[in-house]
Amino acid sequence: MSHTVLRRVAIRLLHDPAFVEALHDDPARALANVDLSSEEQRWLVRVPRAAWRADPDRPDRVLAALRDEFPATVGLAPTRAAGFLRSKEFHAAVQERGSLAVAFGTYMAGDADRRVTTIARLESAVASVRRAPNHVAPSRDGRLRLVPSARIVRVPAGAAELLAAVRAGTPEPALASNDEPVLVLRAQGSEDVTIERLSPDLATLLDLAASEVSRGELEAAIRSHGSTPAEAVEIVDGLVSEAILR
Amino acid sequence: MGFAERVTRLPRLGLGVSTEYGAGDATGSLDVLALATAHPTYAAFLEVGVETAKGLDEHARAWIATGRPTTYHYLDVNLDEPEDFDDAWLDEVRAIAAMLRPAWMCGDAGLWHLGRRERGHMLLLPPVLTRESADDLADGIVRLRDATGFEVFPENPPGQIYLGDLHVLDFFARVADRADTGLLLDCAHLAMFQRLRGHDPLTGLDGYPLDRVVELHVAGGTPRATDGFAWVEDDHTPAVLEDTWRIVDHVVPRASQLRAIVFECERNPMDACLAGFARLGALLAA
Repeated sequence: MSHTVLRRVAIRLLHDPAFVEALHDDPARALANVDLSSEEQRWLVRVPRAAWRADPDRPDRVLAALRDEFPATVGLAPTRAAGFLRSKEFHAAVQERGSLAVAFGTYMAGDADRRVTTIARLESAVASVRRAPNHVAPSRDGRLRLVPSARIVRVPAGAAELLAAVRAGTPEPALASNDEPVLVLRAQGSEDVTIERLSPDLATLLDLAASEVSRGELEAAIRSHGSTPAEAVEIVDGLVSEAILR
Repeated sequence: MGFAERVTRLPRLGLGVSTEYGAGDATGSLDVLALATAHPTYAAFLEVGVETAKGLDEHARAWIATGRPTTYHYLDVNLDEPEDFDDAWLDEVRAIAAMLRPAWMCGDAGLWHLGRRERGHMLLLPPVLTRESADDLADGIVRLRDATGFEVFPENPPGQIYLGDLHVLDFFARVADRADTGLLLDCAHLAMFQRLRGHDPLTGLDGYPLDRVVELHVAGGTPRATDGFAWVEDDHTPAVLEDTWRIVDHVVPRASQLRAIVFECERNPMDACLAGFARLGALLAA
């Protein structure tokens, strides 16, 4: 569907003035990675440069929406955030029908500052679980899986505290050198997202349920860490009742 | 059953107003129920702009509670993208439509979100004006009509940039023919397009199926210039451009199946809008 490709290029031009300049400097080079006919390329070049920026607030609207979802990440690295619309991640997300939030998180996680990388990964996970469907079909009989509104993220210890501090504008704690797993979970039917530290054993168990797995396998994994059969049943029941497994 | 027969079952709504989520909350915005009370013929129905993620606001709900007529104006579907018609979205559309009980569905047939439907992706761009694009759009109209049971009337969207080799009216003529559907002609959006292409306001109307026009939109716009590039901002002021009035005056007497006109002035106080309503009311009554 060539028109779909063409309009995705147009969206990129509407948000990235540098891409407009590149288009006019050397159209073939600027459009080398998209499948457009020569006629479609001519349509783009014929558009007056100023037309692409007729709505000067358009790029800011996109960035404002991302600031809402990544307040701590942007707070830590505002200059890098401002460059997102020139990034390959932005252009790829638009051209390939991806998610701008996911692309932004990936882009920000490429920062040299370990704090930015860490917080970007956490806020990306928050953005991802917010986008998870509200209604999830149950697993097949006797099987369970991690719900789409839950993510296990391994980040340096202290990441959740750093995130809370940056968001609150309070003194920022240092990150530890070791990683720890955290659970990012959106409550069912709600926008509320919690971040809580997980024990390594529980994180491994939830990793096992990343795709559908039998309840028996989950209970066996718990028992292998020294729990009794009754405790294993209770733990799995608890994860189901907390809507972490379904 | 073809459009010519289906259209006979549609009500004649007359002159109406539009709203979307939160529009009625702004200071100085149009109070649609107050307008309906003071000037019933100016607000014979309410066109409700719907983004399913937001639902209906208190103003739309208050209107529904009175039992007055509505139309459903979608704000969140790229009709030419089959992947946009996911089951969850369709379920939400059906649920909101069940509350609104609209006479039909309609809306700008363009790009409402870049890529997938999710927060931060919203925008509005016109379709690429090619035959292939028109055909995909038509298929989406049929898909939505079949999925909801409502007529779906595509509207020519606003824009500062129109890509493609077709005139916007020829594009929508092709859409209407392939989807066997009625049309919503936005006269202000058409005036914008004609200015951008250097055309007279009425250019292309001779090849456009006016007998399929079920609804008209009329709104004010503000001429702007960006570094020498002249364009019109679709800001829905009550100040309707003369180009737009020329289109309205030409189309109304020729649109044999016209059922409704919306004066889009939802963010303006009532007094500022009355002259526009009066002129449109007189046209409809003629």
